[in-house]
Amino acid sequence: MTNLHLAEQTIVQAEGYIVSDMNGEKVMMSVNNGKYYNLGKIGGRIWELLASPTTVNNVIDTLVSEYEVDRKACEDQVNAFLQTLHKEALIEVRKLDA
Amino acid sequence: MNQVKKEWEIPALET
Repeated sequence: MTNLHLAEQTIVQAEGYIVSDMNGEKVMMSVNNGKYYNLGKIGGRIWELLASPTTVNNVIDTLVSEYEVDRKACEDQVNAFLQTLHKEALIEVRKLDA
Repeated sequence: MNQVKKEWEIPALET
C-alpha cells in the first residue's frame, strides 16, 4: 500500500455514507458497497473532526487537548487509523494548497 | 482557568 504523507495533506470525510451513533460509537454504512463500519469512540471523534477539510495536525491538536494521551503516540495511532480510512475510501485526501 | 481529559483508546476501524 502506498504510504500517504498525510501531514502534508488536507483531509475530509468522503461522501456516500449513512452515519449513526450507537452507545457512543460511530457506526456507518456505505451506500455504494453495502459495507458496515464501526469507528469506535475515538474513531468517531476523529470522523467528526473531518466534517470540514482540515489537517492531520489540527486533528491531533484537538485530540491531545481532549484526551489523556501522549502526543507522539497520538500521532502514530491517528496516522495509522487515517491510512485505514483512506484505504477504505472513507476520507478524501487533498493537497494542502488545492 | 484544567479541562478534565477523557480516557484514550487506540482508534480502530471494524468492517
